[in-house]
Amino acid sequence: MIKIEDLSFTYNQSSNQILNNISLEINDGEFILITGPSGSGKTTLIRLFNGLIPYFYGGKISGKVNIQSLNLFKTETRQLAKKVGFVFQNPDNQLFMNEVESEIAFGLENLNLPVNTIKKRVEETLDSIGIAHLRRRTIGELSGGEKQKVAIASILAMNPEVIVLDEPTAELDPKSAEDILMLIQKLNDELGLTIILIEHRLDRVIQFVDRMIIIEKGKILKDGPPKILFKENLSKIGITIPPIIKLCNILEIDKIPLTVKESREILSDFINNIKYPIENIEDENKNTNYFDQSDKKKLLVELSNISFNYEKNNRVLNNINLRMYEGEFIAIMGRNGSGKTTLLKLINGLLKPGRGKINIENNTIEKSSVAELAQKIGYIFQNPANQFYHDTVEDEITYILNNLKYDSNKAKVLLDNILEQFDLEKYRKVYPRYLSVGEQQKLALASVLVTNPKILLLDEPTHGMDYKQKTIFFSYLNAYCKKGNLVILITHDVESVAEYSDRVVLLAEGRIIVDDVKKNVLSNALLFSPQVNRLVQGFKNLPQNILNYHELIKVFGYEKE
Amino acid sequence: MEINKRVSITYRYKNNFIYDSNPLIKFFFFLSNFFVIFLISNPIYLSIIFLNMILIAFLGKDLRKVFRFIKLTLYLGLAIFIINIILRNDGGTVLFTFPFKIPIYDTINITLEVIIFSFIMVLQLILVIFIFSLVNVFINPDELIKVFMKLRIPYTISLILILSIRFFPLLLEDMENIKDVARSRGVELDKGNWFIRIKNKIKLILPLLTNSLERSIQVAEALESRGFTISKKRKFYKKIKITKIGYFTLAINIISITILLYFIITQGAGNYSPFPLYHFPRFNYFDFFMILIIFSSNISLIILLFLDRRIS
Repeated sequence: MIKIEDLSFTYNQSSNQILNNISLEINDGEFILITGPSGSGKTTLIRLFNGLIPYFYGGKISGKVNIQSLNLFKTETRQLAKKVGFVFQNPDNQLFMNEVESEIAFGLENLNLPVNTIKKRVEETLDSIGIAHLRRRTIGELSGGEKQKVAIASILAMNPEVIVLDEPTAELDPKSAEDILMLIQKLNDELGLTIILIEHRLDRVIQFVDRMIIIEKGKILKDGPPKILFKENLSKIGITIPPIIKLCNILEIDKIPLTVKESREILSDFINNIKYPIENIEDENKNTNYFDQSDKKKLLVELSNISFNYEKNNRVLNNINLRMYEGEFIAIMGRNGSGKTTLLKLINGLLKPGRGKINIENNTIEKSSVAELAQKIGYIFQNPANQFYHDTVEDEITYILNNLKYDSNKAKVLLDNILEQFDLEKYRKVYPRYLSVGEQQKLALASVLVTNPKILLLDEPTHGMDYKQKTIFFSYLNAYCKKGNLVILITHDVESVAEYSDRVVLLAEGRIIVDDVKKNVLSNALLFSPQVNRLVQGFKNLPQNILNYHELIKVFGYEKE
Repeated sequence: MEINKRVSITYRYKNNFIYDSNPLIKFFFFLSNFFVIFLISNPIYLSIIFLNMILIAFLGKDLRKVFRFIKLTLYLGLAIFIINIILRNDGGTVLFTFPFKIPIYDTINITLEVIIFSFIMVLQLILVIFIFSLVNVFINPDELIKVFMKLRIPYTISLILILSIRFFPLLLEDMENIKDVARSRGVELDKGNWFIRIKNKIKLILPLLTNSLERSIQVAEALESRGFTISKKRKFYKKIKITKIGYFTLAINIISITILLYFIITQGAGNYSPFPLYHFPRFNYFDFFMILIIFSSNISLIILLFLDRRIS
C-alpha cells in the first residue's frame, strides 16, 4: 500500500510549490490512472513512488510518505527499486545494454541476486511479456513498441509490487501503443501488480482503470472511478475526454460508457426514441483515381511519379502521385515506416527524389535549395526542442528572419506582430526550453509562420500536448488554413483528424492506399475510425459517415453544446 | 529505414564462428595487434597485419561494415598525407620543387622519402581504426563489459564506455535531425566562406549538447530505478567461460606476441625509415621468420576458433 499524507514539494532553485498538500492512498492491486493538464505536477508526484524525488532531484519536502510499508525518508532508492518499478516515456533512454537478454538481466545483476535466480527470472519474463523471440536481438534494431516492451520486461523481472509508468505510449504509433496498454492491463489483471499510469489518450485505457486521479496545479482535483468522475463535465479542466463520454455529457445521460460497446447499449434507447430528420449528412464525391480539384482551387504542390530510396533495393516511396491545393488541410496517416516523413522531406527539398517530379506553384523544385524553398514552405518537426538554438524566444524568431534576409525594421514589426498573434509576448525573454511542450510547439509554429509561407508541413506536432494545448494549436492551424494556405500534417491522432482536417492520405509500404475526403476514409474503417463513427456503425438508421460528436448532435437536433 | 541507418555501424549478431567465439580471446588478439602496429613501421609487416584483419572481417561476413569505418578515416588520412608532404622538407630524392618561397619557411620540396613516410603513417592510422572497428563490430558490447571486468577495469568505467557505444548512433540521429531543422529554416550550411560555415555549424552543436544533457539526466534516472548503485557488489549472470581449446589459443597468441615484442625491441624487427635516402624495406630470412610468426599465429587463431565452436 502507498500512503501519502499532507505532502508538499518544491524543487531546488524554484519558488513555486509543485505539489501542494497531497494526501493519497493506493491499495495493492489497483490500476490507477493519473491525468491532468501538462505542468500540473503529475510527473513529480509519481517520481516520489520510487524515491527519485527527493533523492535524485533535491528539493524541499514535507509530509509523510509510506511506500509498501517503507518510510520514504528512511529508505534508499535501491531498496525502493525492488518494490517499485519505473517505466519512462522515451524507450531509448532507459535501455543500456546491447542485447535484449542482458538488458533484462541488468537490473537483477544490480540487485546482486544468485545466478540461478537471475536465469530463471530472465526466462520467465521473456515468456510472460511474449518477447522470447527477441532475446538475442540488439536494442538498436527494435521498433519503438518492442523497445518499450523490453523496458517493461526489464522492470517486471525485478519482481516489483508496483509498476509506475510515465506516458509509456507517448512516442509510439497507435498499434504499438495499444499493445503496450493491453500488456499493462494484463500485468494488473493476471499478476495482481499495482499499476500507476500517466496517460493522455484516455479513450484506449479508461476501461481498465479502477481509479482516476486528476491533478491540477499540484493538488488532487478529483479522485474516483472513471464512471463516477465523468458524470460531471470535465472538459474545462483541460484533459482529453473520450468523445463518447463527451456525447453523453452533452445529451445529459446519466450513465457513462467507457467502451464503444457500452456506449451503444446506453444510447440505444435514446437513439431509437428521439425523432430526427433521417437525412444523410452531406456526402462528397469519391475520387477514384487521385484527388483532383483543379477546376475549383489553385494547385500548390504537385508530385508526379515520385519514388525514393535511402538504400539500394529498399524503396521507401513508390510511384507517388499527389496534388494539393490552396486552403486544404490534409492529414497524412499510416504505420511507422510507411514513408510519411520522407514524403514531407521531399516536398521541402531536404531530400531529393530518386525518380519523378515535384512542382511547387507550378515550378519545378529540382534546382531550388532548401533555403530558397523555406520562403514558401514552413516545416514543423516532431521534437520542438530540436528547433531552438537561442537564449530567448525573441532571438529565435529574429534568427529566422535574418536567415531569410528580411531587413531589420521590417523584421522588428513582423516579430512584434507574431508574438502578439500567438500570445507569446509574455515569454519574449524566456529561454525556449523552459516553456511547456505546448508552448514550445506554439513558438515553433510562430517562428515558421512569421514569414508567411504558403505551405506548412507538420510532422506529428501535437505529440505530448494535453487537450487544451492541442485545441489551441489546431485553432492556429485552422486560421492559417482558412487564409488560403495549405496545411499538410502527419499524425496518428484519429480524433483530431476527424475534427480538423479536410482530406486524408493513407500511406502503406511507400504507396498511397487512399487519398480522399476524410469522411470517405475514416468512416467504416477498421483501424482509422474515430470513436463516434464506431458508435454510429452499430445503428444502421443513422448516417454512417458521421465522424465526430458535433455532427451526431446536429443529427439529433441538439444545437446547444 | 531509420533502423537500418543506425544498425549499419554497430554490433549485430550473425551466426558464424567469429561472432560466436570467446570475446576475451578476440579482445586480446585485437589488443596485441593494436600495440604491435605502434611499434613497427615496415610496410611489409603492416600489410601482413592488414591482410590478417581483412581475413577475419571476411570470415565474420561483415567486411562491408568494417569498411564503412575505414571510409570515414580516409578523409583524415588524406589530410595527414597532404600536410605531411607540404610541411616535411627532408629526404634526398626531390621530385618536385614549388617555384616560390615562403618567408621564414623557405622553399617547399616534395621528396619521395616524405611520400613513403606519409604513406606508412596513413597505413598505421587506417590499421588502428580497422582494429577499433573489428572490436566494435565483432564483440558484443555486453560481453565487452565482462572482458573489462576480467582486466580489472572498474564496472562504472566499463559501463560508461559501453553506454557511449550504445548512445553514439542516437547522437548521430539527433545531429541529423538538428541539421534538417536548420536547413528547413533557411540556414545554408554549405554556403558562404569558411568562417560563416564554421559559425553556422557551431550553432548546431548547442542544441545537440543540450539534448545530450537532457538525455543524460533521463538515463541517470532510469539507471537509478533499475537499482544501479556505484559502490555495492553486483552479480554477473553470464560469465566468460574459456574452453581448453580457448586456453590453447590464448597461449599461442601470448607466445607469438612475446617473441615478436622481443625481436622488435632487441633486434629492431619491423623498423623502417625511408630517410635520408630511399631504400627498399629490409627483407631477409629473419624478417621472413617474423612475418611467418605473425601470419601463422593468425591462421592458427582462426582455425582454433573455428574448432572451438565445432566442438562446443
